[in-house]
Amino acid sequence: MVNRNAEDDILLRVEGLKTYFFQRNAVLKAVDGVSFTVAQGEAVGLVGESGSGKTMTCLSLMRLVPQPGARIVEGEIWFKDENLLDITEHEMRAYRGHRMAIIMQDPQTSLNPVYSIGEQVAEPVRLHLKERGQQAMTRVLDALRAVRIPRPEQRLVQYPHQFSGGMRQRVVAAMGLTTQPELLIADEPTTSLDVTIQAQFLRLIRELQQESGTSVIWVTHDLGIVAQMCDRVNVMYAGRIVESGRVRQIYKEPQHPYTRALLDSVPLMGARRDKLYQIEGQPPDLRSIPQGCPFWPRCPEAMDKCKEQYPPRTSLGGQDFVHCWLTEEGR
Amino acid sequence: MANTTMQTVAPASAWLVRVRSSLSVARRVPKIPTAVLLVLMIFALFGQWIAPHSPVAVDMANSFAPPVWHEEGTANNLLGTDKLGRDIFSRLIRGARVSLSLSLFVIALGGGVGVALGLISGYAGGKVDAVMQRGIEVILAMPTILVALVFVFAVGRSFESVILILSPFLAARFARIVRGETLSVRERDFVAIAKVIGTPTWMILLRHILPNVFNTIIVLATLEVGHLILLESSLSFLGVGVPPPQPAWGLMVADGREFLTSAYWITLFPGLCILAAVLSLNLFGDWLRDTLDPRRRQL
Amino acid sequence: MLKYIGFRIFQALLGLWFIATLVFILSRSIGDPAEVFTARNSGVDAREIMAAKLGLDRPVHEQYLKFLGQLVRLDLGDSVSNGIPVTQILVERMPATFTLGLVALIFALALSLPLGVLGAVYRDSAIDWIAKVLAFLGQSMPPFWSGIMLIILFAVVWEMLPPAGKGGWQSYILPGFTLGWGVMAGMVRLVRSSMMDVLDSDYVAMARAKGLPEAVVIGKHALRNALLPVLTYSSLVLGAFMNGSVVVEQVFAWPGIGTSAVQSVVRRDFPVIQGVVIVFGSFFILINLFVDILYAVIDPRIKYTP
Repeated sequence: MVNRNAEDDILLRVEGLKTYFFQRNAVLKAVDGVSFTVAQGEAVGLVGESGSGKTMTCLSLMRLVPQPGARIVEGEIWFKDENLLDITEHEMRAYRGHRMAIIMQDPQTSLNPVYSIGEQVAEPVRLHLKERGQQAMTRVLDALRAVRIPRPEQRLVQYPHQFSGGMRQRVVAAMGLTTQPELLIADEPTTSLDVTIQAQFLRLIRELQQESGTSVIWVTHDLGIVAQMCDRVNVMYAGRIVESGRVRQIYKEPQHPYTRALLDSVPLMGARRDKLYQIEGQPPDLRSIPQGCPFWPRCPEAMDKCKEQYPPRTSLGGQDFVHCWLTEEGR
Repeated sequence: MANTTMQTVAPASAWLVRVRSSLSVARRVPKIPTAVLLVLMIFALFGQWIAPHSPVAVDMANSFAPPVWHEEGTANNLLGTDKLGRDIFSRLIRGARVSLSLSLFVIALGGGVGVALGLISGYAGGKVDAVMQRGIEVILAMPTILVALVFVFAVGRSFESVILILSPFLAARFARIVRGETLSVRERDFVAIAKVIGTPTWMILLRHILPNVFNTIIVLATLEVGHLILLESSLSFLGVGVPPPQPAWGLMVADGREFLTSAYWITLFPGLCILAAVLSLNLFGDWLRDTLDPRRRQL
Repeated sequence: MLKYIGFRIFQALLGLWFIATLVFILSRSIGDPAEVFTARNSGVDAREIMAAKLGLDRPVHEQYLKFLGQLVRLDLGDSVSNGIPVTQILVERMPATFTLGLVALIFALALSLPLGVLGAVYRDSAIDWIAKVLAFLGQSMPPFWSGIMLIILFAVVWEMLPPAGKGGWQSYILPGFTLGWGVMAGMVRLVRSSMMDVLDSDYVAMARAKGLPEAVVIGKHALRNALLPVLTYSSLVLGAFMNGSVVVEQVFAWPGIGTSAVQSVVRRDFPVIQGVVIVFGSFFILINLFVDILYAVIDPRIKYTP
């Protein structure tokens, strides 16, 4: 803890990540030059509409992009002082499920129907911590207890179909957290849950995060969740991060029109509005992203310049930045 | 409903686009299988004018003549003759008619019944569906050839009895697939709208559901013709299929078995014909499925 | 689980009864039963003895009960062509059919499982292409003809294997391969498509995200799920086996039940074909029962569902 500077604090640093899908006669740029950092113990939000490249960014971090079809074509993913794109598949496997874990969107399908819960939670324990038998079982039980699954001894031998959606998602979380990973990627884990179950699950993850000091990447389209869970937020549009900043700052002074639109479309408690704002138009086809800023066709403040050139990165102090001609011109 | 309105108001250029896209589809037709199938169809339709000899004309003096590329072979019998001196090539041509016509009869009879049952079962749902599905499962599970043996034992061997025994199996296969499709089409909006405006059920089935499962039916029929040719030839081989002197391919293979070492051509060519026909149908059907009905990978 | 198995056994018994009844109806509907059950040239005496044995003077339901009673005692009558009890013929011939089926099953599984799995894992690779070609050929080749071609090559031209009949282990190779080959085609496609579905599933992605080696992901997490739909279709596969064994036994002069079936049709030997139907039917039902139980063991989701 002596002599800590900002550099040491960084757990994950993504630089210029590009992941493309190669289709028969088109290249789909799902992730097109994404850079961001995650500090230790920090919760970072990755926000955007569906199809903005959030999930593909996460899968790229784990080097699990769909095969065949997708490929990480460029970039660096620094996990502490190792570039995950430089190591072998074998070395990468030591990261997955051990130093970084993922919770996926749909708890109905992310557990294997033919194996018991205990078996599935125990897998990473046996694999990465090399624990067996009683020792492993104790750890599995601890994990199930940690995610507040009642009667874990009995539920251990049960199968996924015997669990409710919320409970399954807890099992998935337990599966990820047993090995005490340094980074947890939560890919819209609450989208398919009921609102009350969702709130419980969010609270649970936040508590676990605070206890263990794990860094979390929250992927969501729900800015309400980001406000609740995250320290920083990265707004993605068409495979790029268009704005990045501390949560409080972004909520107070969103710079990018897209961020503003997203914020305006969130129904806020207490703040009654005459009508909810809705973003006009569709997200662009990632096979043919228009020239210039991809948001301009939907942007209420689009200028001629926006159609010609992608705006450069404008620093907003600290690590905060935005890609928008409005801000760039304004200074 | 929405779809039809869209199409009626679509500009004339949409028609051009459709023609163009069907042209580009036509260009991707698998060439060899299509050619083989065309040749077989021509044989089946115009065989009597193409075949150099009568398929049943016995010529004992000329028995076991080898194909033309053997030293003793003559152009008179391109692919040689069998033990009765009948011209193999002419018999193969007639065999195409036997196999194809039999398959088409079964497709028409069994397929028609199967489509009707599938539509009803899928659209009605509930108890009707459950009972019909059980029946279909039972039929699908039966070993066709064994059942056919017993059936032929009971009613005798004829062209018609082969059609009658194969049809229920085909009907069951059609009914199962069409039912599945109907189940999903039933839930679409235009069916709901048709119901609301009081369209009679038979009209909904014919006007709204049948056209939407038509592609599946076409693909299935293509693949099933191949399957039927195999079954029919197996039955003929076992001596319970199309009765002689009709030259069914399976029967020709069986005829040549005794003379494998001395006159391989009697056995080889009919088998190759079956293989070429069935393989072409499978390849063509596969292509058709990918083009018309890409969702049904498992058909 | 026990309840489920009990229910399935009950269903199986029901199936057996159904087959027996079907055979009875058939035997009474294709002609005068006394003639059906006696040799073609036998005299009036023989027919009268048979009529008495079948109880033809009694009402139909009594004949039916008598028939069921004989069936339970495994009395299927005598062959009309050689007078040997049908039960004895079947018992003698069953082992040949079943061992051949087993050999063929091993051939089919040994080819289709690896090809289907590898084809799905390495989509559009050379092995996927080989699997596709083999599947197409297997589906399109008439089994009787491919059997004959194998005989020409391996027995006549190269003289490596016996051309027909049942003898040492060498005699199993050609018929076993011919029978397995036809069944293999459908299985390759089934395994491949079901494996592809499973590989796209979230739980397989999750297994990878745990850091499991690819071999464990495929072998442990994917394969077991991929085999479930394959098991579902096993009754169809079994049907294909039965169809195939009749044909293949005929090609290779294999002394099994299939050959008896064909011979009995040619000789119009009803007692034998009745016995064959009952044997194949029972076997079919028993295998399905076994598969259902196996299914319940593999898939924990299966519960008692009538």
